[in-house]
Amino acid sequence: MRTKMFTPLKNAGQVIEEIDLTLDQPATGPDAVAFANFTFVPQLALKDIHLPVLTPLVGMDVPGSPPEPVFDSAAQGDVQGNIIPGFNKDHQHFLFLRIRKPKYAKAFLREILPRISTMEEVIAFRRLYRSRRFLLGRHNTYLCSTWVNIGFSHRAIELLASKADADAFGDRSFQLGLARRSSYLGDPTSPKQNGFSRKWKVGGPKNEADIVLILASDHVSVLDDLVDLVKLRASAAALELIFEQRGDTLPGNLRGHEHFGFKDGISQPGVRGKLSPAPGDYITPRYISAGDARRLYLARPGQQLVWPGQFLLGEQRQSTEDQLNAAAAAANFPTWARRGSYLVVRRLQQDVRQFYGFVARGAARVGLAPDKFAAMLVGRWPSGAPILRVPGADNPALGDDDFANNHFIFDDDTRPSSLTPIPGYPGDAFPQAAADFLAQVCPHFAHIRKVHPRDTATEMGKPADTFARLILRRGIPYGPRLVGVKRPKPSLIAKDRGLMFLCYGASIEDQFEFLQRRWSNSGSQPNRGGFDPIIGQNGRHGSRVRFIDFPTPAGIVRIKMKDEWVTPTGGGYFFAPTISAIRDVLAA
Amino acid sequence: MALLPQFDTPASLRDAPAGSAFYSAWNSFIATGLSALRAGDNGGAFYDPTETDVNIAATKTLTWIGFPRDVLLPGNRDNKPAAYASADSDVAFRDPQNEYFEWYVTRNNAGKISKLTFVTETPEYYQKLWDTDPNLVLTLYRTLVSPAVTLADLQSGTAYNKFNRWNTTDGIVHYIQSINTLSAALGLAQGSVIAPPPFPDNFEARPGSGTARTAVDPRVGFDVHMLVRKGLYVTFRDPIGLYIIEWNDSGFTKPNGTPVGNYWTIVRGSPGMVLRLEYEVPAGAGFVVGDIRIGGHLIEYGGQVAEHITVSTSGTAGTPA
Repeated sequence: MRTKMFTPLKNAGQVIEEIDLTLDQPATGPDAVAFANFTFVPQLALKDIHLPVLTPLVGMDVPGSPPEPVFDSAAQGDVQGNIIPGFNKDHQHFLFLRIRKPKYAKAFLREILPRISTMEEVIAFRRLYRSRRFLLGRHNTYLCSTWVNIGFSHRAIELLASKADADAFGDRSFQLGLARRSSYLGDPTSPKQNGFSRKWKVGGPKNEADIVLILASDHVSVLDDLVDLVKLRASAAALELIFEQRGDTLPGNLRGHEHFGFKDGISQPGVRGKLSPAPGDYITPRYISAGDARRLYLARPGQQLVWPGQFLLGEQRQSTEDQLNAAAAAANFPTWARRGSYLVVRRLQQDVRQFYGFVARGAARVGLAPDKFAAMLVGRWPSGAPILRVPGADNPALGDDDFANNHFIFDDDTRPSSLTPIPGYPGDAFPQAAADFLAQVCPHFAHIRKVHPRDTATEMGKPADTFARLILRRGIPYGPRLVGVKRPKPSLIAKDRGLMFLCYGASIEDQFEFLQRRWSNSGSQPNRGGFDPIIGQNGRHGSRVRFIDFPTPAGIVRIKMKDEWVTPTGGGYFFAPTISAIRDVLAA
Repeated sequence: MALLPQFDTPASLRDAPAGSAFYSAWNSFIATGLSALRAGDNGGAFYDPTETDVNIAATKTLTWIGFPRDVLLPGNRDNKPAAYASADSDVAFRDPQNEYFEWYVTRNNAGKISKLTFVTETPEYYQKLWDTDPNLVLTLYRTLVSPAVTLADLQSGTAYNKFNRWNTTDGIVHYIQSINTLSAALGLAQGSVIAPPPFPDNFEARPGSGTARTAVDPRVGFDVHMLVRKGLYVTFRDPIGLYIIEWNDSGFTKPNGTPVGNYWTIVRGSPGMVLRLEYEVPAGAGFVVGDIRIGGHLIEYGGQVAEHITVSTSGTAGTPA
């Protein structure tokens, strides 16, 4: 008989105390001091620990893996590039436009069509960039590309195609639009609250955008030129500019981090599919060795493979019943919409002071250092290092290691990864994650455990269901950095900052909305333990109070909070069609 | 820890007088349903806490969606309205409602939904009550469904008829779906113990119920197997039951577009261990449930609300004392 090492929970994991950490007044006094001194993030030494290798053009197919669809050059030249593989630019500008004269709007679309960046172009540039970066041994290659992508609302499709076309989109949330789904997402419903949709900068009931343009570049000056040009041409086409937003990656060591200081965008699903019939020419490079069974469902350690129909309409979808298998393609959309994707845009304002005020109070209450408390809210340390792998302290080298920083599961010990030979990569020698099935290290409420429970069963049953919930995130921060700034001036604190959250998926309702409403906004789903303290909202009949069941050595402390540090201030539900669909239908 | 002296009733209900034989009958029923000890891989086991002494080290609440997942996925993946209609369709047997969660839809003269009643009560509980004293059951039916219920309505010969009109076409008191029984739930959990060989994680584990298309079977199967393969002793937490634990009405709006009030009533059980939950707009509000929208969609079926209700059961894990 073998009994695994197991540390009993005090009081058998029962809630031993309930405390309310809602703040009556804005953070002042000790909280403000705690905040001002809360400067751990800049201490990170984010260095080029290693650099990803080139995407292999040829190699070998994953043995035993089912055949995956090939996106030939024509297909790659048709799909918008921010869907796959994603722009990943340091500077992005978002234009939200309202159609006043459809005929003129069509002319604008014909004019901008050649500038819309394709999957093929973005992949080609990414390969060039990685090649150059590999040769130079540094991130800054001075290569520059500038991309344009576009999305259309339900109303836009009605105006540019027909009502029948617009209504043929089967996603009911897309048909209704974000403003009408706002309260379903738990957004504030009182006019007194900032997040109330009628107060949004864009996307509220009175200021919904028909078109969103995503302009992105490596260099600000180039981006600015393009923005000026596009705005000029849009204006000439009677496209009213409702709102525009610049997004920039945070400076210095915070590059790639969001405003609370945590590295963002680490965990993305790996899209199945190939770029050519050549062996090994996958959209998402595969790095798990042939002798490891995980090669069948992981692209690299921790990156789950998902069939492309979860992100591109009309392609084979992920089975909801088996993590390996494909399911039939959806057909609930107009024929011309094939290989397009739904695009969710949310402008999420982040109150850094409020967040760290809560962190300071909570940490003091449960007797933890603030950085540990904050890391338990997120599930990662600021560097991106998963708390499950390094529970004691941040490890920037781990956070920066793309082959290690996503390699962990929750319910069982994580086995060491088994990788194909990667030139220049010394291997993953970081401590492996131990089973945390009682969520003592990475609590059930932790953001990364909420929105991606990985191997854990959920309220929807088997872990395979989760594969079909994943989204492609394409967000970027906006506003000036505050976290880590020593003794910030009130004027800096008062600045508007947050995240332009963007994601693509084949179902808004079953992917983005599912993750926000069913999991982030629940104390019991996917597992009992509290709300997501980062993005979770409570909109139940007027109450905004959330809770987290915080594990402490003495038992679970239930912490209640009403203050909010992530507030929706705009957005929209859009559809990102193929180039040919724009040319042949929307611009025709 | 000490042995559990006796299994309590679900949510510690006291429908029979103190000292009634019902309580010992209920204890016997649970004890019969639980094997004394069912050993699994790696030294773990599922056990009867009245017979095996275990140092309880953790509790775990298993949650699942109340709406029948296999009605939604994969067949109606692209057609939720069809799934809602299907889940509501079988009033006489409630066959689609197979997540240990059933509901009854009350409509007004205009055909709009006026009230929804959700239950997680088991037929065994009412059978044991009937076996003790049929009038106990009658009293409950009259309280929960209608004062018009008669003893004759509830029986077939002298036996209790769970398919009586007040628990099918004219109301709801407890489960009737063929596999929604407490015995089945006990069997599901215990059956998840053995699934050799000892897989390293849930991605590769194949518990017996792991491929089921329902939510509850894989949920229980994966979680129990995961605990047992760590060498832990696992059992249900007393009082054993299937409970409604959470409901989410954010995005529910009145006809004027403003958020709804709190229209939920816990009729049986207590917060965290709810056995009967009703959703009804207070009289005088000027509208009914069927006038409410959920995220912009008008409520036409009970399943639309069931989708936002979470069901649960709790277990404990530990090591032999």
